[in-house]
Parts: sequence; structure tokens; C-alpha cells
Amino acid sequence: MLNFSAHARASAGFLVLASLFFYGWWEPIYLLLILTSMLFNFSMARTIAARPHPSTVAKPLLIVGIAVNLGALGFFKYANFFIESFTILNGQTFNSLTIVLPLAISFFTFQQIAYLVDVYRNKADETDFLTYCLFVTFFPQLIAGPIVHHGEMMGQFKKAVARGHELWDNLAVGLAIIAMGLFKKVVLAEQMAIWSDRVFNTAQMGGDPTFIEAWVGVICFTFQIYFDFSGYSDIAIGLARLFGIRLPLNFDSPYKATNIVDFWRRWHITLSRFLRDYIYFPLGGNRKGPMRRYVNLMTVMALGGLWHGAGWTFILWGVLHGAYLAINHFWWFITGGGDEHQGRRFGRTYRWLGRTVTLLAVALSWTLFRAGTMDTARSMYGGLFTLNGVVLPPHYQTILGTWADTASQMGITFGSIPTYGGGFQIVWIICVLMVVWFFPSTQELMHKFEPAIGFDKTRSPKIMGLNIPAWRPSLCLGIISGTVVLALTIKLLQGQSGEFIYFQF
Amino acid sequence: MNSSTSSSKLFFLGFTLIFMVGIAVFIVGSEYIVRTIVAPKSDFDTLRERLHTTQAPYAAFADSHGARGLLDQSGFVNLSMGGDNLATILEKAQFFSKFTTTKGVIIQADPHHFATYRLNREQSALRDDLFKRKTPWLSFLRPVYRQYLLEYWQAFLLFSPTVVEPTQAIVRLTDLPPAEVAKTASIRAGLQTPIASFKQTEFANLYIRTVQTLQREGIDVCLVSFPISSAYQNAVKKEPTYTTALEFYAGLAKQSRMKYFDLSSALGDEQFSDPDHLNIEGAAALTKIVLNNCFDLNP
Repeated sequence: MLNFSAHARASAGFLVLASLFFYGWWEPIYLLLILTSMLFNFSMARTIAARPHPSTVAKPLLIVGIAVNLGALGFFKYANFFIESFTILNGQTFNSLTIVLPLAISFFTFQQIAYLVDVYRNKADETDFLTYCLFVTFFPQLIAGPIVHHGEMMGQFKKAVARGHELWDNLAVGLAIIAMGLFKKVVLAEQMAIWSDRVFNTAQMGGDPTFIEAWVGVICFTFQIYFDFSGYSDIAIGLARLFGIRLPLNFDSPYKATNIVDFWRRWHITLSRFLRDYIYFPLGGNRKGPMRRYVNLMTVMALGGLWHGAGWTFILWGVLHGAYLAINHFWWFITGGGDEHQGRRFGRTYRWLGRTVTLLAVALSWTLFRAGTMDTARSMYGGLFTLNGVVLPPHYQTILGTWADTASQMGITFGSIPTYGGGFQIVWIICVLMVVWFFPSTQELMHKFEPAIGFDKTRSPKIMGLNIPAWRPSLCLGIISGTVVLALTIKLLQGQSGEFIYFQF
Repeated sequence: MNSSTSSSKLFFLGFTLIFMVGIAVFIVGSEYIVRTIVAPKSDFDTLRERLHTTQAPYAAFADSHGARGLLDQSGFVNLSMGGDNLATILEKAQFFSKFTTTKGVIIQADPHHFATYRLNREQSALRDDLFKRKTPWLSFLRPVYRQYLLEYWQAFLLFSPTVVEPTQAIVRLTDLPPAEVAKTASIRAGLQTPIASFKQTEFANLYIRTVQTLQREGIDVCLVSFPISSAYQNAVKKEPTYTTALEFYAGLAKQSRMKYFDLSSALGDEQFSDPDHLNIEGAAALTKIVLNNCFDLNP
């Protein structure tokens, strides 16, 4: 056990207060919720830990603990969804409840359920309430993850506060990572959001996007959510690092994934870890035959979808990913693939084909994620699959020349496409695709400074296979980073940036 | 101190110095520019003040077509503002209808409000600011100004005027090269084409609900489709949804038994300053037509 010095305790106390202030700023009443939740779970954990293992009392206590956590989550996040679904099924009308979704409830509920389960499994036992509070409320990761595991955090919170070179390194590394995250969010994600919002909002308001509109809308959202979540993850990691805390890796260039299994090892890594360890494995995982494995995957992913939002579009998004995973495993099953056969899949063509198909499948699924309602999703898919018609910009009539008549005979029309940004948008899309596929990640650039837990620090930065210099602190870089963050802050002050997508979960 | 420590320390100091000094200068400078240069000449603040204090029984609510197409008269106030979307126009009309002196309102009935760029325009923060009587402490953070802060700074640093003064000379569309006018009209008409399913939009429902509520409250509601030039009319002829949108407004007025005037071809090209905005002569002519037809007023 590390010595929890008075200095470290004071720092932890300050961070808990700051985190609670940060949490209460938006809706002070929900401070009561998070405080009650922490008190309940800590007491429950202490009670479970005090029982001998195995014990006939511990298990019922664990079930009660999980039920109370899920009950609170169900009430605040899903009550209206269940009421609306019941209304549709039953035909009777029930009034919706006026509930404002408490910030971060999905994140702190899952974190605490994992803790209770691990206490029951004799894998955790925290006796200090202050450390436990910091584990739950630590503000850089409280709102939108990563979903941290007690095993990787408690020890860090008890460590003496860094001084000297470690302090300066933490500050420099933290600020540099924040700068990169802000750039991804404010410049890349926001530019993509302008284009994707136009299309999805039009569809939501009853419009039917045509083929080009729907595709550019979906592609832009695919990159928007990528840079939004990547940017948020960087900012969370950078903020935590300012306090000397390393957060787990949560985002690892997911669009470089060559299959959907690989994608889920790179996207929201800590959520995937939670779903695997606390739902998929207890359901039997892959130990009960291939069919059971596919059912388990679909179930886990459907729950993962529901975790993201109280709506059928999220559930269907999860089910679709469950189906993708099942198909992926089935493909490996019939071709004798799997991790152990990855070696023969290293061919360049195979990898690029896999990467392209994976990105396309993921993009199609994001349509459900972004749509908000089933009608919007239907309208968007209608556009993607040409059911809403194919319209080309008027000048294509000139470009196509005599082929324009043939195009018209095929049902293609020429007219204005108000939500399409033209060649400028296409150039942007190609540029961000290059960034996503060929540029190194933040962690690779910062690899010498161990930016995140779980990141292989031998992964040096490369562009198209060529080594490039890793990040190193200097006065010049400090001035450049400061200028970039200043410019981005001014852009934020102009009020043109939306919130992080994952804040709503 | 080893070299890594010293580099990290220098990085931190360079970063902090630039950021802290830069942000302080930006905040103080922005507040100064907005308070002393921009706000005193702001159309938004003038309109905000008039919206809260007017005693006129009749008012008009529209975007730039109305702002540049109607003139204030005794008993009539033009509360139109360039860039307003339908939600803002309708909420302003509702706000005005609560005054005890209110008798009638003119509400814009133009098809371009159902164009994609209009439907996507988010103005809730702007409306919050408009309906509040009290001005926030930090003016530069108000939605009407914050979005243009960089433009203000640019103008301030280059010593150019931040607010364009209206010119005295009357611009007539007929004086401009026809090819240029046709091109501009075509571009604008393309941008302003209503979406095919505009009747299902939230804005269409809001429009129907609001005008009918105003009518039930005893307010004399008059819907007006504002004039457009012949070049613009030629361009929108290619877009069937434009006509459908005009029919939507006409149908609503007929069904609700309220006044509706399609004035899209009421004025000649010499009374326009660009393909879809009137010049001052056009505005004077339109004001007479509208007030006379809507409320039997003779300015």
C-alpha cells in the first residue's frame, strides 16, 4: 500500500472539491445525486468486503448494489423512453416525466458497478472515502470518460504530488496534448459538423436528402464524431496529466482498423473493456459455442447502444454492430481465421480492403447513431440507397456533355443541392481521410512521455511507414502551442462550436 | 536541472505567457471595440429597444426583405431584421402581440424561409438576448456580436469602419449589367429554394400555429409575400417548390380567413437594389401598398 501523505491527501481533497464544483456548475441539484451515489456505493463496497468470501450474504448485497445503480440510471435516463415505447405498444397514452438527464450518469454508474463487482470478486477494497470520491468525480474524465478502472487509478491518486522535472514534464505534456485535442475538436470536427448538421437537420425537419447529400452528410458525420471523440479524449488525457495523473487509452486511430473486431479494440476502448469484462464474459463469452457467442455479441452490443442513448436508433446501432461482429467472427470461423491467423492477413491489399470495408460499415452505422429518430434514419438511408433520387449539380450537365442525356434516362436529374458544399467539401473530406489513415495519433507523437495507460510506448510516429520525429518540449513549440490554443479559444469564444457529442451520454 | 526539465519548463512558460497575455488582450479589446464602436451603431440594439418600447398598434415582422422593404410610419413600426428565420420572426410577433396597444401584425410569407440554409439557422441565443430587457455585463459575449468578433478586430486594426453607413445614392437594379443581375438572381434563387417536404418541417407547423393563435387573440394578421425582381422570378420558375410554398401560405390564409397578399411581382425592377431587395423608392411604394391593403392605413 502506498503511503497516502498529508500533501497527497490535501491535493486529492482539493481535486474532489474542484470536480464537484465543476459537476454542480451545470445543475447544482444533481450534486446530491452524485454524492448519494458515491456514499451508497462506498458503503455497499465496505459491507461486501467485510463479509468472508465466499459468503451467502455478499452476492445478494452485490445484486442489490447493482440494482440500485441500474435503477437510478433507468429512472433518469430511460424512464421516458420506456413510457413512450410502452405507449406505442399498448396504445394507451401515458404522460412523459419531466426529467433532466444528469450529466455523466452513464459514466459514473458503470464505473461504480465495476468497482462493486470487483470488490465482490475480492479484487478491490478501498478503505479511504476521499480516494474513492476522487476515483468517481475526477473532473477530466467525469463527463464523458474514459470509464476508468479502480485498479489503474487508486494508486495514482495516493502518490505524492510530482515536483521538479516530473512536474514540468507533466505540465508540458498535458498542455501539448490539450492543444492537439482542441485543434481536432474546434477545427476538424466543427468543420465536418457544419456539413453533416445541414443534411441531418434537414432530414430531421422532414426533408428527404438525395443521394449525394445523404452520402456527404454521413461521411462528414463519420469524421465529425471521430475528431470530436478523439479531441475530447486528448483533452481529458491532457487535463489529467496536468495533475500528474495518467488516464487509460480510450481512442487509438479506430479508422485504421482492418476489421470490425479491431475497430472495437480502438474505439471507446474503456467502454468495450467494461462491456467485455462485466457483461460479455458473465454471459459466457465465446466458451459456449459459436452460436451462443453471436447471441452474446448481439446482446452486449445492443446494451452498449442503449447505454449511449435512450432511443431505438441507438439500440439498432448497437444491434447492427453486434451483427457486424458476429459476421466478422463467422468469417474467421469459416476461413480458419482469428487472432492466431492474423499473420497471413498482413498482405497490403487485404489490409486496405479490410480497412475500407470496415470504415464503410462503420459510416453506415453512424447514420442511426446521429439520426435521433427512426423517421430521420429512414430518410437518410433512403438517400444513401438512391430511394430519394439522384440529383447532380447543374454544371455537371455541361461536364457530362452527351452523357447527360444518358444520365437523365437513368433517372438522374440536374438541379441545386443546397446542403452539398461542392468541390471544397470534397477536398476537405479527402484531406481528413488522409489524416485519419496516414497520420500518427497523439499518443504516437507523444510516445516518449507515456501519454496514456495501456499505450505501447515503442510505437513511434510514422507517416505512410516513414518515421517522423516524436514530440519534444522546447520554448519554440511552447509558443506555437500557446498561440494555437489562444486562436482556438478565441474561436470558442465566438460561440460557433457545439458541445462534445459524448457529453450527452 | 537536466535538459529535459529545462525544455519542459521553457515550453510551459512560453505557452502560458502567450496564452495569458493574448486572451487578456482579446477580452479587454473586444469589450472596448463592441461597447464604443459597434454597439452604438448596431441595428440589433436599435431594434431591441424599439421592440421593448414601441407604442405603435401595427408592426411588420420579416427578414431583410421586410427590413429593407418597409418604412416606419405613424402608428406602424417595422420590426424586421436581416437574417431572421421563421422562428425568430414568429416569436417577435408573439412578443409584440402581448402589448395592450397591439392591433395588427404583418408577417412575412416568403418561400425562401423553407430553404435549407434558413431551416438550419440556429437563432435561439439571439432571441434570448432580444427578449431580455437587461443588457449583459460583458457585451462582447452577446450572440449578436460574438460571432463577428474577428471581423471587428480586423476592421479596428485596419482603421476601417465596422458598420457600413447607408449610401445616399439610390441603387437601381436596371442600372446594373443584366447578365450580372441574372447570374446573381440564379445563384440566390438556387440557394433559397424551399425543400420538397417543407410542409412537414417544424417551421411550417410553427407558422400555422402562431398565425392562428395570434388571430384567436384578436390580432389582425396579414401575410405578405414580398416583391422580387423579374430576374429572380425567372430563376425561381425552374423550382416547383417555390410555387408550392406560395400556395401553402395562400392556402393557410384562405383556410384561416386571414389576409394574404402575394406581392412578389408587384413592383418594377427599377425599384430594386438587388434581385430580391427593394431600394428606398421601392420601400416607400411597398409600404403604401401593404399598409393600405392590410390595415386600411394611408401613410
